[in-house]
Amino acid sequence: MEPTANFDTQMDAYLLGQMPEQERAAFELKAEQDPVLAQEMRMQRDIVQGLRQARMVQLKAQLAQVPTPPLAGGAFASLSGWQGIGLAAASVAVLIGGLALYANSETADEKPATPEVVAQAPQGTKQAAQQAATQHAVPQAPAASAGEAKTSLPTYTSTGAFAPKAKTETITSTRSGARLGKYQSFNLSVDLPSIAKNTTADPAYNLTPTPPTEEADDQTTLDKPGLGALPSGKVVEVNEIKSKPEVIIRPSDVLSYQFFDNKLYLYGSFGDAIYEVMELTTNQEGRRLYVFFKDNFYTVSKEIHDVTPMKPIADPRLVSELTLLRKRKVD
Amino acid sequence: MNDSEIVELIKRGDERSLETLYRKHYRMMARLIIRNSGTEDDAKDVFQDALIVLWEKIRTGKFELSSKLSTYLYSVCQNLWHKELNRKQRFTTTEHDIGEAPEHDRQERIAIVNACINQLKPDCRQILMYYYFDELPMTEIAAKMDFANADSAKTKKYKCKQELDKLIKSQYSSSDLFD
Repeated sequence: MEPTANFDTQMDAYLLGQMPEQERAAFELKAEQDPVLAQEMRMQRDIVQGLRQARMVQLKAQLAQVPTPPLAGGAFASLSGWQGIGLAAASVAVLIGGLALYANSETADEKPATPEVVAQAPQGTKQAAQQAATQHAVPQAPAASAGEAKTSLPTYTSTGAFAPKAKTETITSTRSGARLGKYQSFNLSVDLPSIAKNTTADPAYNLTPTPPTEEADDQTTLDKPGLGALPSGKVVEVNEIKSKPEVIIRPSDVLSYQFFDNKLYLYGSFGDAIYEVMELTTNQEGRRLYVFFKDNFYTVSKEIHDVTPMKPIADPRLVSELTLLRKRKVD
Repeated sequence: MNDSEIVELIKRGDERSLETLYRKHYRMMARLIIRNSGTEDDAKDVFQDALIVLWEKIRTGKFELSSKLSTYLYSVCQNLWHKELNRKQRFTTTEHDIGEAPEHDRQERIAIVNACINQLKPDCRQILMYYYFDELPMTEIAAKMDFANADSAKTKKYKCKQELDKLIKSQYSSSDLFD
């Protein structure tokens, strides 16, 4: 069958569902009686199907190029680039503010809520172990300080466990207002204007959490038996960090960890190297613990009770955010 | 950018609107898939497919904005993932009849069509995809592809389609797919 422009138009209208019903029925009847037309129709269906698939592949390839926000890493995960950095800065400011408030809230009779971080040296190095076990409470911040860090941004807690100094440092943040006190020397400014600017520039990003909708409940699991839905990550408001893991170091050739009795056992060749346990708490993700060791960050989960090898976090954005938070804090 | 504006952009064939939706709702859809035995790669795959479903519905005038776009996308993701899980389950529990003649013919035809589409020049491929998938009118195709006018686009589309038909016919004939 030699197609003509008219036939082509007719076939297109048929294939695209643009032919009136009566005309369509007549066209199909004609094809039933004409094997050549039937063959042509089948080929044209194949072509349209192929073109549609090719276009879908093209669109999918375009979407695959779009950077997606990391799923781990709390509220920062929904951001990218300078937005994430800006929010991280803001979060650290909250952290500092929270620290001061937290320190002030302690009474003389109360022990500072420092983590019982113990760098436990291998047997035979008791001296080192004793040195490592030295603990430093968070100094109390003066009362007269700035309180401008009021925000509902994620809270951040860092449990520093630096070996071999084994200086224990606790920085606990709350969502409340803050006094910076001596920690103003950290010089952590809140970079909110840049966040607002970027948010306006790209409407795809929204610093305000999307209001939950009836369908957008994170907890939704498909109603299908045996699917083994993963444990829910319920959105929890965490205002105060109450329990901190005790960290115990054990020598091992393999870098690994386990949680047991609310203690974090770290296995590895820590020696004199510096390590740090960090805690990032967000409303969306809840508490997440990270270990920084030899230029890498590792996620550690309290759910892991067996000795489990630690793998460096590969997500560059999460690494970037943690690096930034750590740098800001150390600075 | 609100939902109505995004729908309008899709109606105009603006693909950046898909990217905006992808970034905006990715985490929500990913959590749905991951909480239901999927991986992040599954989530990307499913959400991309859902966006293409939305794109196609809007492009072909079969979509009405009666709820939030996120609501629609969420339910499409649910359905697609259900289907995928069912497919996986079937795949692991049933034996497949391999080599049935009709299926074999179909696969061979699909392979030929795909190969021939890939032989077309990029502009030919694009104009045919715009016409048969996006169902863009010739005026819009002309605007997107820098043709002088709709008639030029129509002529180009006709020639490209003729070329594709010719390629496929010769392949079908040599593979005995024509009676």
